Amino acid sequence: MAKKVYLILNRCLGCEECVEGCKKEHGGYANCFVVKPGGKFPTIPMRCAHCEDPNCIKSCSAEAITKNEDGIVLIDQEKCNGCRNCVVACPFGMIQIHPETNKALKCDLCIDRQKEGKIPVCVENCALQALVFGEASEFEKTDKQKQAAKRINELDKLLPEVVVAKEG
Amino acid sequence: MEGYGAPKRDPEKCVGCFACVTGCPEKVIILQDVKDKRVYGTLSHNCMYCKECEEICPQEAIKVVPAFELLSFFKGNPTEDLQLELQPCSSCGNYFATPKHVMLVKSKAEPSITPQDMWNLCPNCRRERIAGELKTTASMQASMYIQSKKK
Repeated sequence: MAKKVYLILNRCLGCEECVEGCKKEHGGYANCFVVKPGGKFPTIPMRCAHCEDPNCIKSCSAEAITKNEDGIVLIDQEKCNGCRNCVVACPFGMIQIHPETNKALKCDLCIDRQKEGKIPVCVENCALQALVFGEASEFEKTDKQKQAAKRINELDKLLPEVVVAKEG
Repeated sequence: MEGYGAPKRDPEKCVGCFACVTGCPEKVIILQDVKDKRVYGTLSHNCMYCKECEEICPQEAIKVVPAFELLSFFKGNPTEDLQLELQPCSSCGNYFATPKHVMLVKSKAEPSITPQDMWNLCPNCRRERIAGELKTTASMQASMYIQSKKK
């Protein structure tokens, strides 16, 4: 299992510090979102889930999207032809278009920061530790937690980024 | 006529993506979403006839044909080439892609990980949808936790 950014439910308060940090890190354009469904709490921070078998790679007409050995799905800005197939394909709606270059942008799990040994900026900025970075097994320690996380992920296969961590 | 031209799209093949717009080095291809139509236009007087769009088009729908017209120069508006229907989002009603584009991507995508009703949603509403589902799970989890504390 590769390292990912995971969300611990019921911790996010919607301060959008993750979005602000992402903007600074990625040249003014945030690749993550905080969605407030129906305008009510709880808020849900979202980013690319780096799926196992992503639609965006399959639909890309320029073969610009690849999955590296750490399981990070990356868009090669040189190869991207701006056809927006990936925008239509992503079931999460996580891929955006750069307004100037017209090319596709998405979360790269701060790959440059990771090379320096740092954690992604959204996780670093999260004051409430609603976002955590690592492998799922690091957070799901007890059997009860493992079962709960399994149940959530079985309920909806579209939510691979949720872990259940110990309260408090 | 040598050295003058403009891209011509095959209405059967063109799906309404943005590849030609992005690939054009002189930015002469203008794509505008006017109400429920996606309109391709060319500023013909600036077209270098480089055929970059012909090469980049994933559908091979573009053919650069010799053409000469100064209407776009005088009016400052792009000359219209092709109009395509847009598809509205089934939730918010914003137009986001052409039905052909959605069909094309759908045929390439993995059906097991993509629910069918998702295809008619715009990226914004897809995020809302997933967040809404997570929210239900979150409130379920919270109420379970409270109940376990009461006991």
